[in-house]
Amino acid sequence: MQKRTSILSLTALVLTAACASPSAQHAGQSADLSLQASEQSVLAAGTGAISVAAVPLVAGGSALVVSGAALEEVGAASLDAGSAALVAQSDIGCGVGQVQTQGMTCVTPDGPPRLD
Amino acid sequence: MFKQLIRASAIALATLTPIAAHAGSSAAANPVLPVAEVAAFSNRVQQDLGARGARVAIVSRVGRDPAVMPRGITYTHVGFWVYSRITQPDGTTGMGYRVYNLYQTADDLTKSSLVQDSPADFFAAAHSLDAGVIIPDPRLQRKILQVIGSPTYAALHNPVYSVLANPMSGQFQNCTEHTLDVLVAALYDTSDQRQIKANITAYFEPQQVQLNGLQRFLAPAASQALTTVDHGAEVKTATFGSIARFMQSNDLADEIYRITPDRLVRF
Repeated sequence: MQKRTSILSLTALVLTAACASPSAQHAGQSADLSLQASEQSVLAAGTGAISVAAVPLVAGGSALVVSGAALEEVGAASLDAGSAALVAQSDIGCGVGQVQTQGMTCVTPDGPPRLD
Repeated sequence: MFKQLIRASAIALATLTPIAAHAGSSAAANPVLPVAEVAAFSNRVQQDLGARGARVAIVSRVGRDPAVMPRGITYTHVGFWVYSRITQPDGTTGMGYRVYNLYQTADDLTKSSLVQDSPADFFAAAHSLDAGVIIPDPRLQRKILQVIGSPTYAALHNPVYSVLANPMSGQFQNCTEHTLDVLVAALYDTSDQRQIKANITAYFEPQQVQLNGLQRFLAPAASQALTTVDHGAEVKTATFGSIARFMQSNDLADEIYRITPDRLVRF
């Protein structure tokens, strides 16, 4: 039973395979997808072609030129907010207020993340 | 007992090795959704982001059947979507989102590279049309864009890939950890990787992945990309959910929601 559980769990773990890119086998299809997206959208979506150039728009102010689809909010869920408490989990050997990032030396963290 | 362990290991490896060999490729493990549906959904997400005035957003996809995912993990890939002026190969230009990804390489699952692609490419390998979206506070969006447009973005990339990379360590990295590193670099206006990791260690609570000793022992045999040598007693990794919680608890996000072809649910 335990063996079976381990195998199933491992299978799930392997299948996690995060960050996978579209495979080469599907590259042509991806380009097709992009083309369809481009044709269907008022946004000119780029193709998957390497020669596509994109310049991020940093300037603020003007409204984006899009036709936003009206969205239906059908429900609400709450995130199980994690503890925001300081995690000084491995501060043995570090100075007061310092943390030891794994594999690294003791570093004093900045203050909690805040936007001015 | 020893024979049973050996047998269990052999069965596990025989079962897992072929799967692991193709884990970085969508071809082996993911059904490819109908082209028209993927195209329509990618546009729905783009239009939704555009309507909200998002110049940059953190978007995730469901790359695997959630039923086989470790508890607490739904989304398998995360990237930055950046509103951009796009020049097509024929010289025409238009406005849309480009996606900044860290992708596991298909021919070596222990390596990754930074890849820019389109929203449709982003969802091409999806298991289902379901995206988790975080729209950062506009002030944070500007900071993230500055990092993405700077050498820091690539400098924060560690190509040594692990599915379960420890975000408090720089030993390995996955797409979610790179996203987190960029986010923290933007928050603190720093490119100092030691300081970034110190701040992550201090303020970020990663998602715990329940693994027993046997599983941790066997996992690297199935694939080196499943190593957990960068972890202590517990295995914790960055996920879309843990980044969402981090941003929500620190008032760093304007919107956090899930979008599907026919509904939108705010977390």
